[in-house]
Amino acid sequence: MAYQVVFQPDDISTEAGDGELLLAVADRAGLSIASECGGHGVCHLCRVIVQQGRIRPRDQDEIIEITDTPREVLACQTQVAGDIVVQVPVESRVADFAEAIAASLSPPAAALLASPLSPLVQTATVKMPSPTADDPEPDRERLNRAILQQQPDWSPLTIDLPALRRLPLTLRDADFHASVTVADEGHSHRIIQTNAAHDRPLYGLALDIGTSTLAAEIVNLGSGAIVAAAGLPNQQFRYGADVITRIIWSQEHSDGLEQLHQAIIDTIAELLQDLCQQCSIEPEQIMTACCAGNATMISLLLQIPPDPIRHAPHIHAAEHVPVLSAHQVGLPIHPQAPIFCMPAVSGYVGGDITAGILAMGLFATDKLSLLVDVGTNGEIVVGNKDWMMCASCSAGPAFEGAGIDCAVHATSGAIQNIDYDPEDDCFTFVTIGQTGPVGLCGSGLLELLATLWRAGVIDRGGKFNEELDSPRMRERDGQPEFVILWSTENATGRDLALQQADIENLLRSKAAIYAGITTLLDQVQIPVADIEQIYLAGAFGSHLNITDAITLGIIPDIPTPRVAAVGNTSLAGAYLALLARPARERAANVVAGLTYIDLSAAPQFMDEFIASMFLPHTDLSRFPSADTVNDKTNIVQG
Amino acid sequence: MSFELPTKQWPAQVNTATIGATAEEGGTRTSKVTVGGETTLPFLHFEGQMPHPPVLAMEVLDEAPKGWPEPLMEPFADVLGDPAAWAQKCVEEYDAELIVLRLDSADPFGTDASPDQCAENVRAILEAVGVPLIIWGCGDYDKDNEVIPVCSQAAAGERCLLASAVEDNYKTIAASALADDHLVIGESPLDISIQKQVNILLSEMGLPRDRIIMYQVTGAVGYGVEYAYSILERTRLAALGGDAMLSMPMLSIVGSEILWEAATATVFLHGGTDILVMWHPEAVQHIRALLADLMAVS
Repeated sequence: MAYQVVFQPDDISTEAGDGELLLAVADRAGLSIASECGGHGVCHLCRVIVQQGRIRPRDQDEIIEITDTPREVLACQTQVAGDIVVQVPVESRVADFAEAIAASLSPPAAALLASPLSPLVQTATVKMPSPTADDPEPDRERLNRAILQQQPDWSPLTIDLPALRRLPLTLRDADFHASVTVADEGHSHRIIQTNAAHDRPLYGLALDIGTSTLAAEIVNLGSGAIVAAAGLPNQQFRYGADVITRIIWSQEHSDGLEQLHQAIIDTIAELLQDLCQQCSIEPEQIMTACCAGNATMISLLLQIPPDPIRHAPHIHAAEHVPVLSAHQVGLPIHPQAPIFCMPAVSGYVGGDITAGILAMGLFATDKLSLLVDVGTNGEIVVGNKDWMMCASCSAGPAFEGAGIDCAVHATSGAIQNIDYDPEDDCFTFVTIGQTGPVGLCGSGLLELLATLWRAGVIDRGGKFNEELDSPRMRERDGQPEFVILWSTENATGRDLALQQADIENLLRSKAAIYAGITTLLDQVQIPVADIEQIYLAGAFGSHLNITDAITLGIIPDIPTPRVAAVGNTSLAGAYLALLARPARERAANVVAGLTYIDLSAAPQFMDEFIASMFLPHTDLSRFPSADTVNDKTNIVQG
Repeated sequence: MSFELPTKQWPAQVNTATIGATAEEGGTRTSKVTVGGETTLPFLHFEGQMPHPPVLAMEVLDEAPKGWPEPLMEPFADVLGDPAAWAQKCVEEYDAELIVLRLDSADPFGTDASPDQCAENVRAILEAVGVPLIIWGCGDYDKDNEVIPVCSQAAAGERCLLASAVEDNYKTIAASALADDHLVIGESPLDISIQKQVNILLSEMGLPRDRIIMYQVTGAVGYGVEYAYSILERTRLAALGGDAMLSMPMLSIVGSEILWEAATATVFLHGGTDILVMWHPEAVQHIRALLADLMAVS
């Protein structure tokens, strides 16, 4: 069932399938609509005006018929449900989508994307003369000659067997007018697919494989446009919450490694289903992928026994994984698609961090910078263009919502900002996509802790004030809890509450991160005050209230303009490496210059950890700016 | 050339705390105990002051101990089960400067005595002896939160030391101490950070710093005394270094450790403890003699 979508004022007309997102349709039509949130309905840059036709709000059944009154919608949150005429306002347009993405990256990272884009696959369309008795050259040589005429750099040119098998019929069906997809292998090129001539774009997959969460984007390799984005919990969760338990599982069960591998593949397959539906393509149309993840996740993806990572001296199988084919890895995209894995410096500081360093441009900055990636494992990088040191700490999956009843994945309906007013005993909040609330994501959980502490609902040790005069303060299963949203106020149909054990998990996570930061800084003998820039990446997303992060003592107390919440830098780095050879080369360069410090060899880590299990910290003098939160804190000076 | 002993000037000193209120302060104690005030590490008289020597407290249980070894029970055989008489014996025969009343009978998994029954024993001991009293709960948070307020009220104005406030349970005990003018023991599991956290939490309840005593659960010789010593010493170094939230006097329990009581007490004294809670009269005697030696400025 195809509908006609007309974009004004360009009067570009294109066909669209039922349920296709307007943003994806526009991209396919060659129109660049601004979007920086990966289609999550968060950045609100993709506003368009539907002048007439039938649309459907994303993932809902209700169909809206627009006749007289034009309606403003977000292109990423609106599906096609009939013939439509859409007006694209000037402010929602960008001449070059890659430029728009680049604007949200650090300048050095954006420079890596300098055109032309250089993904691992490229395409060429050639027309050859049909063979005759006088021109009896075989098909492959005929194709090679035509391609090399157009792309002399691609020599030597090889071909995969599956592509060769299809070549004779494809060429004849297409009347010797063919499009080829070629994998760039550095020293040579390899034909991985031949089709009848077409001008469809190539797509690639940028993938962040986290211990608790996988996030992915489908990217138009020609324009750099992100045409679909999604995230899902890692199905490996059933084998353990952290990498250590999973490594043990892989070792202690005869098919453990296979199970863990399959769980990642299954999660990716589920992600692809969602992604491909968003942009109306088939998984086989994805011709390359770039994976960023910690060393254990990459080992499990590739079915490499990860056990040595667990034991001192924590050695991982490979810093650089060679470029592999999707069918070797088991990725359900085009079988011959080349797969690039971000290089990993150590068993506990993986390719996700290399990606983060790329995305934040640490490799090119003069400023002494700190990159803190908050995930199930917290990783910390300190340095600048001249030197970089890194460390990791086990933060636990709390800020990713695992094991916390009122937490959800950072998708539509997740509360990302929240504030509690003790006077009126009410919460105000913002959800992703501005839809009805379903729970809290990482930044929401963090802000919740901060606001509850400010309001005196919890004390510095994170314990509830059970004498509080509020119906929200109650007991369940012998545990105190505080109701955030009553069943009537949220979409889950039950009361959403924060429990005492949840707070303890969150405190442990925040303590591990802060202890990791201070122990690393201590090892390199850099005082906190010297840090010129902190990038807070990972579970908190990019909409975090920085003051709250300092109030809780997750990061050191430095002036807030020096701190930025930067979201998923692992995925951003994977995006860069997917699109640009300079980014892949830079990644190798970064890893070569990154020194890993094992904090488990630093006895002060445990001391720091316990001292950090307090709001904001046992040593209150380290957090002068948090003093204003509670006027009784001046007792430390007294 | 004469040798000059190098000395160190510390930027801060240990807080003082006074336990017990005499008639002058509105109480009924015949003596009171002031601890703390050290300006240097223990017994370094050449370097600084120890204005208040460490004191010896003795333990009294509010019910007869079960399954304790004979040699330990023997000195108190005639008073077991009668806390007032037991306390009297400690003070009159063994010169205890403080009495610790342990409310073991309140344990919900034991006798499960009511708060009023416990308060009765508190009154009886206050009647029987004139030294200041330390009232120690049974350790069950919920039960302590019922018992301590009633006992605290029964002893209102006597400036007792209520025990113990821990990170997970400090509010009720701090509120009682504020209401009835007592002091509080902040307890931590041998961790200097958690100790400081407890002190901050108590302070944020409005309890002045001179009404907090620190107790870091300790182990006897053969049971990790080295670590206990290092925690006491680190805490004391922090206090002298100017950490206001670790500058309270410290208490150590030696008696219930049973083993090597005098040896353990000696170690803790050198770690900087201000109040020793002891059991066996002979060990008390040894330590009293040792203290006299250590406090004598040569």
